[in-house]
Amino acid sequence: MSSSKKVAPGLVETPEGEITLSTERQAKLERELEEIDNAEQYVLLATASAYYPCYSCPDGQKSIFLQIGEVWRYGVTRKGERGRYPNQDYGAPDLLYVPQFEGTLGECFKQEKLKIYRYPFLPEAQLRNIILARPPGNKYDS
Amino acid sequence: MIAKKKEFYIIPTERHIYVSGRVWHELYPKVDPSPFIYKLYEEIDFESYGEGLSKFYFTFIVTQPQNKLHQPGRYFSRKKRALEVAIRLPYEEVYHASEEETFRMLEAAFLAGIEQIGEVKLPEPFDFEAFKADVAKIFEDKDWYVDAVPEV
Repeated sequence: MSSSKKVAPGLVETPEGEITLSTERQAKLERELEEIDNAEQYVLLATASAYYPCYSCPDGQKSIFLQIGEVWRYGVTRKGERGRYPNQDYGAPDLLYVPQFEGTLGECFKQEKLKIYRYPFLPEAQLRNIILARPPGNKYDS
Repeated sequence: MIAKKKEFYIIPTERHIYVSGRVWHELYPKVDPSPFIYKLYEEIDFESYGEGLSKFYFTFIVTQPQNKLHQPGRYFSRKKRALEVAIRLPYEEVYHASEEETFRMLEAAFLAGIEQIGEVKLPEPFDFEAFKADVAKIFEDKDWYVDAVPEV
């Protein structure tokens, strides 16, 4: 039995009069759920010993010298964002993207947060004259 | 005789060849793009091959087999004359390879990446075969990567 209600785009009415998601919208939901389940936490490491932008340095210092292999930033990527770094643009040149943990988006955010907060205790961070609270490429705590 | 270490310098951020990677943490620093960055900057005269290409971005992908986030591919920006090539290496083979074997695989992947320039319709000529030959010449020295990175 058909209802007299208007049906918004993305919804369809079955011959029995039930309102359901359209095939496309159902597929979109499943895709987005899968994206949340397929994420990774990564670190960006310096591939050249050079000056890199610093967003966590005190006193208005805009750059910091990193040696090869030192951490510039921690982050999280989820499925569907694979095209977000065209021309290796990770926020600064000469960085290597190193996935460290795979899991759900929530698990990856936890890993990211732990690593950001523990950054000051890394040997490389302890060796500098100024001990940063966060990696140079992380403007915020998440 | 102790070999003299290369004098330190800061590599310019504005250049023609960029080498990076997406590498599962267990394989770093075994998979290390840094020697490629410095050696190619020092020894390749990129402009001599023509004006068809201004920048070449190469990415090694070495992630676990189930990881679908990082895919090989190619993208050309006609406006910037910039070509980006990402090539996947077999995770298990790299995992079990020695450092030297790993570099041989990285070299082969990089040369395969250069080969892809020939598949792109460039606005002006670029002699990718000469570029490839010059890079292959560097790789003929099996220890080319050992002292490629200047020490701080």
